[in-house]
Amino acid sequence: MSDLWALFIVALFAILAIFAFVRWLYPNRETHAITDDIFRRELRRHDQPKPIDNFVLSVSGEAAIARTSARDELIILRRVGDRYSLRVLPVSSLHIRPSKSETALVSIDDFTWPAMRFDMNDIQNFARANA
Amino acid sequence: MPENLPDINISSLAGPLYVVLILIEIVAIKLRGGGGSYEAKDASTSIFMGAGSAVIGGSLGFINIAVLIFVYNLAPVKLPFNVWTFVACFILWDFCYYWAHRYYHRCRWAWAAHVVHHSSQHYNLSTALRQTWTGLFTGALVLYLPLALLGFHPALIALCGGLNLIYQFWFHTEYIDKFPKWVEAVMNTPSHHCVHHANNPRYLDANYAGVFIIWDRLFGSFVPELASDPPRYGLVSDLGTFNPLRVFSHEYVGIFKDITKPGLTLVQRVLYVFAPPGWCHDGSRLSSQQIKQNYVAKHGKPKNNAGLPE
Repeated sequence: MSDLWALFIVALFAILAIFAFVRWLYPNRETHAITDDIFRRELRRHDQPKPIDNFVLSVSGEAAIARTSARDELIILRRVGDRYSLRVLPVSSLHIRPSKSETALVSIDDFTWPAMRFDMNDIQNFARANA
Repeated sequence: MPENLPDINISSLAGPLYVVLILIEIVAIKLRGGGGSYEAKDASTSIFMGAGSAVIGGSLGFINIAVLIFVYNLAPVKLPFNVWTFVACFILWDFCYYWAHRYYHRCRWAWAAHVVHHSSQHYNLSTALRQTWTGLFTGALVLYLPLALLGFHPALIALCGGLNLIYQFWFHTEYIDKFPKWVEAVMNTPSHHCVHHANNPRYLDANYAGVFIIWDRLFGSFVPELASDPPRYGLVSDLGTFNPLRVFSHEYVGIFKDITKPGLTLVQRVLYVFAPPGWCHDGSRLSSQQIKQNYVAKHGKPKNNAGLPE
């Protein structure tokens, strides 16, 4: 058992070393805010060639929510590392709760998607437009 | 003699080799300027999952061995350890692995463990280490018990399993292209296994093989990598985090949420645990078969419809 824990601790050091090495050799170039082009590119990549009207950007610029031509449907795009994750969801699955400094935390019913922070006015206007 | 076989988990002992090969791949991709990609958080999560899997697997592995020994003692014939029984055991272990792996993908309870391995949007050697921590609880061991019942010693079974898993490490790469046709016909290769990690509709539930791709060809689950449909890696529903605890547990959380929904029958609750991933009682989600059907309905039948419904 102690050998296993020693292995685990050595692995942790290896992970830190590899993390630093990969970060140095492959710096993440996807650091800018999500743009219209990125959104459309990711829709195509995820085989969801849906027309989107407009989208609202999170405070960090790493997440965006758009509505599709389908009345009760939303598309959420989120940057995860240098890749993008995408969800197509009904409007009802979006949960908005006020947070500090005129922002709102937006979450969906997904354990692996931490809440995203949006400007309160932006997300309220977006929600109103979709009402 | 079987009693003289080393009782070691050689797959875990290969750890340093794995790290060296990952470092070589990281540099090689950079030098070539293509043939794969790395992302720091993604690779770290993968290796952390692998380290956790080695510790938990190493701690609880004795349970698997105890069950194998119990069944082995029931075997009417005990096979000797020689080159022929080693080769036979290796091939049969791979056959059992094929069915175990198919079970991981077709039963949500097992998928909840195996999903970890498919959760990266990258396909590189670090992805190979992104392993579950709950493999023991899938019940897949049952599929290997016939080996012990045939008279193969548990240590030989464990040795073949370890070698099989070591073989499976190297083909988690985009750096290597296709091999000569005869190799691709018989062996599992990077080209075959990248299909298995892709979430393109035609590639879902394909290429379950460990070492020999012949099992997929025999049992109808083989889909070749097509230049016209480049693999897109990850899950059908991408994860939004690198947090290892969430990566490890998210499907179990999903199962728990589903079976505790109000108004379901007992059968529906059971199906949420054991039916294929994507099954649901109200049509709000899609199984892999439905995703394939929808793809054909949306895009029409492509020229090469490998992996898609007839």
